[in-house]
Amino acid sequence: MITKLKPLTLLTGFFLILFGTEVDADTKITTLGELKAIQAKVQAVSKKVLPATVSLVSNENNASGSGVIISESGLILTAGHVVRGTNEMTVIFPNGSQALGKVLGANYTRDSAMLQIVSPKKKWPYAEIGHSKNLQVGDLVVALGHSGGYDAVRTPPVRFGRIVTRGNNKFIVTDCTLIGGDSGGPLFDLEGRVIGIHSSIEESLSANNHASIEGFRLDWDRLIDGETWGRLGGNHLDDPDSPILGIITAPSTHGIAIRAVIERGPAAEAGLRAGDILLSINGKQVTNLRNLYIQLSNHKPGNIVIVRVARGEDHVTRKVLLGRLGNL
Amino acid sequence: MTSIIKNPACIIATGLLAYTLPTSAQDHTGIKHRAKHAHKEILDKQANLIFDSAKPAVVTAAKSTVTISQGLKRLAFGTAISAEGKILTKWSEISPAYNHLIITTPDGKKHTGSVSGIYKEHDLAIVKCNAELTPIKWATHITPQLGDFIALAAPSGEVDALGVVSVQARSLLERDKAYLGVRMDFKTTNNGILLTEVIAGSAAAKAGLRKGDRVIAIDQKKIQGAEEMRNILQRLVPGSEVRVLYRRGLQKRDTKVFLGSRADTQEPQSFPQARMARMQRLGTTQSKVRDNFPAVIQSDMVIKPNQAGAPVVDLDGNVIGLSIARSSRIKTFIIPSSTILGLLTDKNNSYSTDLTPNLASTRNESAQLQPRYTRPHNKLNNNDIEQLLMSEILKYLGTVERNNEANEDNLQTIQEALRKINQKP
Repeated sequence: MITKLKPLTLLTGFFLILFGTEVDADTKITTLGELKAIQAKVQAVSKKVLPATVSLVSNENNASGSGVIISESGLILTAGHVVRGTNEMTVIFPNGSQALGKVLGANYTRDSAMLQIVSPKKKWPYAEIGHSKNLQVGDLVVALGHSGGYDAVRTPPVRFGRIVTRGNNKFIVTDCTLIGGDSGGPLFDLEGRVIGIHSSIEESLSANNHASIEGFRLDWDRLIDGETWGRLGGNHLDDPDSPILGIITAPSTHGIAIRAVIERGPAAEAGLRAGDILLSINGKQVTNLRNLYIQLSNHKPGNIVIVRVARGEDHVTRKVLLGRLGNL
Repeated sequence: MTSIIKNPACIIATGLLAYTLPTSAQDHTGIKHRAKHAHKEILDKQANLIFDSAKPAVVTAAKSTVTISQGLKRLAFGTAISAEGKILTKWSEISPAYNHLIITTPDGKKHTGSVSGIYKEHDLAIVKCNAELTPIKWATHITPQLGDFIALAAPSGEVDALGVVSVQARSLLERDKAYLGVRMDFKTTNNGILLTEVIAGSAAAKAGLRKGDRVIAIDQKKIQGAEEMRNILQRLVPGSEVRVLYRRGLQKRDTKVFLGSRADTQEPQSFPQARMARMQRLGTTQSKVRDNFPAVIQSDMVIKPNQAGAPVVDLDGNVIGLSIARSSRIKTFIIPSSTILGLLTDKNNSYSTDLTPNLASTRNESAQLQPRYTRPHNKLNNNDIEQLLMSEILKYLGTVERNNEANEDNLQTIQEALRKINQKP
């Protein structure tokens, strides 16, 4: 989506001199012929990558998002918050067929995750991955995703837009408008290469955030190896009805350490403290973040769970009344 | 530099910059803010160039676009469909002033007009006025493809909105989706899809399917899982016939199913409705009537509710449809030209000249309130039962820890006790 803005103010030239950022020649469109050339690319990209743009539905908690297949063997890139609380996901293709995906690793800080299709075994349609390092403001991009969840009567909506800016933690921002269900879906350059994965939105139509492929590339081996780490930020695409303990975690050799408890949050109210190490929730061991999210996703805000922690030499058990993410 | 200094706007800019420079030199966020601002300027300039480059495509269609107002306020655009003053527009946007509309033609002249009839299902109205108009030429020979650029032709001859075809034409009506009438086990299996429920009176029940049957194939296509089965069914139209191969016990059987309509059933939502509704509004103003159209093309072009009713063209200037609704943050709906031409040439279908009941229903639709969140509220109170259950839980947790592993029996007892605690009013 590109919105037309009020007549141009004359500040432009001035800032260009200062910052030296000018829209590249190949993304500067001034004639109908040039626009048609871009159109041909957008059409080609849409056609090429559509079969590889999948919907992902959790087999554990019915959460739903999107993903993109990037290898013939069925390796899928998606967003970290899409795989949270689940080990297995149903992969649904735009043509309606389905497969089973196993969650590999996730970096919640960059909102990145990987899955592998485990059955059936066959050659899958896939998109190539590109590079996001040298993206410029104004570069043209295409977004796909299963907006609002899988819908058998339509293909995943195609959106066109531009690179708006860069965010922290290897995020990129575009004006390709996103909505719930798009999370984990692919952002492409005009050659049809994956350059980002949909992550979050803000109020403005020009504030759609994507985990960059550069971030995935940096974490590649850890994600393939099934490692889960990092912390999710606030996110409009995230479910505000998710249950929360109200803790900030830090990895520890014995399990998950509580680095801090949110003031007057569920954990704090129940008497958990910074420095405690999580042992179990309702008797089920939680040794890593994925375990923790899986345990939590079985509950709703307002439920009580029994949390066992190690505090120094002692083991302490507390009832925690789960809070709601949206009320943070 | 001389040309920039000469320009009054840039002198102001220089002033601003001088003011902000010392702060930003020390303050990282200041630099970031200004960089962002610079990005915005680049993007605005690029957007304007792109919009202008599409201008030749809208020139012809724009001659058929009118503005429909109530007093000075624009309610919608309209598209001329006859030389003698007939205009097609969006019904729900103009209904408040349906008998005293002001039509502004592309030459700037104003005329009075009123609604002569509506196509309720499509939210379309025909307005009649005493103006000479240039009727639009609907391009029915063209099927817009994914990724095609499309533009909204404003009466000014400018491109008022530009986007791509996000989804090709489809029906948004529930009644157009086929319905089998079963609930399925969603676990992936190589042994057929287990039917956990067959709804009495449904198409499946009539064809003899029962709870416990396992569906192996539909129309000779082997089914991998429940999602796939649901997707195959959703693509079919009500009234169509499918062959279902299934297993009952050790027997393999097959049956013909005449599919029903999904209109009366409520499918589970992938997203909580209130949450989705909030995201749909985020950053955009939605049309009052924005869903359940019998045929629409979906685009990512951004329009305001009062930009509905205008012709939408492809880059060759072919009129591919009429803008009908801003539906959500990501989508604008366009009624395809073929649908419109079908309506205009076949008067016996849904055309109505009796406006009174429809005025009432339009108001009702716009008055619909979004459901609101309620905060979950389970105050802990330490009464006896809970204490008892808790001591039980703690006892078992002790066992779990001593054995250094979770025993299934222990876990079940804990879960059960917790369930009781959580169920308490």
